[in-house]
Amino acid sequence: MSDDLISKKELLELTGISYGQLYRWKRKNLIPEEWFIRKSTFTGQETFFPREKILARIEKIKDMKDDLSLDQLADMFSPNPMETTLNKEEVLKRNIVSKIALEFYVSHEGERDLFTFEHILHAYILEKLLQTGEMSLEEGTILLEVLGTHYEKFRGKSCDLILLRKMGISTFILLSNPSEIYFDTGAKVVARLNVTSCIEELKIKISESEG
Amino acid sequence: MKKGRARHLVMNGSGISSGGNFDKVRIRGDGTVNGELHCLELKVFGSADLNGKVSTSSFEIFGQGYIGEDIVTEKMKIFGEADIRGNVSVKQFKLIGSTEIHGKLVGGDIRVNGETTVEGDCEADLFRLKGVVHIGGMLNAEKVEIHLHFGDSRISEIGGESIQVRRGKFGVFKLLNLFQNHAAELLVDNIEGDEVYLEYTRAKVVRGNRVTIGPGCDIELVEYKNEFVQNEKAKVAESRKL
Repeated sequence: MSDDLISKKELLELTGISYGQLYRWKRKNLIPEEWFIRKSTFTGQETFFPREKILARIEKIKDMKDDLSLDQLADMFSPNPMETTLNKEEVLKRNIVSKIALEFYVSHEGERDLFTFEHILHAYILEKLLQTGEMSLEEGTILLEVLGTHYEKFRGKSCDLILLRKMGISTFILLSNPSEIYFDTGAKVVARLNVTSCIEELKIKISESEG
Repeated sequence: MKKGRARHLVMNGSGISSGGNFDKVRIRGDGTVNGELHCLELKVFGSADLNGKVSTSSFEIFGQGYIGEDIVTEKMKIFGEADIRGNVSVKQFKLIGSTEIHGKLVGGDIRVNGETTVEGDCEADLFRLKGVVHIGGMLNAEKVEIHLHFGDSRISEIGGESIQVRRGKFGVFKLLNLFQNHAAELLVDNIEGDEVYLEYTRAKVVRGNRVTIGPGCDIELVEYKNEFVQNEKAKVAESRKL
């Protein structure tokens, strides 16, 4: 696993940010606490980060920090839902979720005038999995059911969604993150999705189309 | 909370309340609140035992306070002593006296004269302290200014943009120091900042862009980017330019 991690020193060198910036962003919750991984090395304790996640995050912060305040950025990265509600036309017009996915969502969850962030999120995850072709429409029904009944338990927390298939039977798992999970060899993990990063993508999508 | 509509809670002498929503809360003497307390203004003259969560815009203690759970407030002033069992989230924090916080302290402006203990992490935009400090977790602040007085301070890690640790020299504190043969020092594992100035500090690792190691320091390793100055009365086992 060690090649997936990046030391703090290397990170600062690579990205050109300073200690002050790193600590400021941590303080403002732009970088989640759980990414700070402590390990003992010969110089004592050192901090490491998940390489890909932290590099992507710092790129994003650097890109957006001129347009948005740190607090706005923190909202964007937090797993908390946005306070937005949109109606159906807006969702479609702004290209947040495609018509097919939205129709499917509505046909299962019922027609509604206003979509809260969570409704849109569910539809967005649905679309994501449908688009990659990893999930069939039938499985989409199960997905919406799982998200509808259980997702609220993870609200404000980081979680993963796993689509598992074995002998033609599929099942969805919602898993708090970070945690480890192992399956028998007959089971196949068809898709694994980090819901927090979906939320992040969706927030960016919504706020970009606003401007 | 609707302003103006809520009642006031006033305790004179000795009293017990079960908490609730209030406009202003005044405790003069000795008061106990069992349950959550939400109010706009909370003042304690004397002693208070608050056994539930406290959320208020302004929180002042003159005397002594025990708070059993978390505190969320904009302004907090303690003249005296406070024992806080939960986390504290505050914009402006001012302490003259001594405080023990068992959870985290998250704030904008933290100014302390006296002694403070935080068992968890401490986060702030400005952390200015004169006296003694113990932080079990990490101190993460934009600007850290510590003036060491009286006894030894202990912080496990410090991170921020500008970090200054000096031995206090001023006023009454110096007079008191004369009576103590024990000199104040700071003990830290790691210090990381853009600008670091240290006096009378023992640390394993100090990293920064510009690092100044002043008198009385004992540092195992200094890693610096631009500049490194070492006082002749400082001990640095190893220094590396990155």
